[in-house]
Amino acid sequence: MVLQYVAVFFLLGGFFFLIVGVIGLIRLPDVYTRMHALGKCDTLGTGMVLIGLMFLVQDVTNITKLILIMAMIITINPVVTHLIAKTAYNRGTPMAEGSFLINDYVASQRRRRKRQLETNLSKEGGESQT
Amino acid sequence: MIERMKGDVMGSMFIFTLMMAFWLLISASVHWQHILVGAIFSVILTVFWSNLNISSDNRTNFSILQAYLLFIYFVKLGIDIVIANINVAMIVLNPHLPISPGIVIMRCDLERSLLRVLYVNSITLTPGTITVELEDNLLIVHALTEDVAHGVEDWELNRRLMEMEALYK
Repeated sequence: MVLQYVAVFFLLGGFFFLIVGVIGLIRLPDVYTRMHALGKCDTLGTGMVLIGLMFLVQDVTNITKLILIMAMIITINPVVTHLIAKTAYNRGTPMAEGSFLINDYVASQRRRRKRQLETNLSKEGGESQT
Repeated sequence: MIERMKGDVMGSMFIFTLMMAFWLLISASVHWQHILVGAIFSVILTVFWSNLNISSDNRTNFSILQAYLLFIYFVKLGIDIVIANINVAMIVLNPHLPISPGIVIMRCDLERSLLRVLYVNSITLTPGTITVELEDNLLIVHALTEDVAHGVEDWELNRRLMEMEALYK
């Protein structure tokens, strides 16, 4: 009896997140932000529905199949999200107005080189002292 | 094929056991006919797989410590996925739609392909970021709000993956 309530909790939670994903698809302005809503909410929504079903079936073989379906969804969903965003970016799809751009590549490379230099120097210094 | 299996008996046994356990989970019966059919197909598949991933010079050096770190990583990832979904739900259901989207270009220092895939997929699944491009060590991330964009660089899961990669060296 308790298990059924737990299952209902997971099913309703999953439905809520799926509905949020669809609302996000309608409301958000451009391709990339829409992928935010779909890529995340679909994963957790479908996952929660499958967990709820696991509490309902209570059978080793079916639970194994549901776990397999869940693993496939969790691995495939971000990959497809990434592919859609990548294709849109490489084709030059415009972003929503007022999008920012932070280029941290050069700065992080510099920080990394500095760290490497410091470790090299400390190593050499330690060797010369001993 | 047979020579390769002789070269790596432990690996073949491991794959056989794995497939046999999977067969027992799917069929859920201990009748001898079920077990015999499962064993036959497991042997056939092990022989066919042997030219794909079992070779003595190219084995995956996967230690128990790494499995443990990976387990902790997945638990943290699950918690992060739930937080991400609640964040997105709050943004989407807010009538003002408080977003300020943008692109962050940064550096990815991971080298093992498995860890790179894990990192990119977990960026996609966690709060407010999706991966747009990963080329050599250039990583382009799309962020939903500007606060998130500044936090991508020093991120806890990235540190964990770096620890896991350090074990290979």
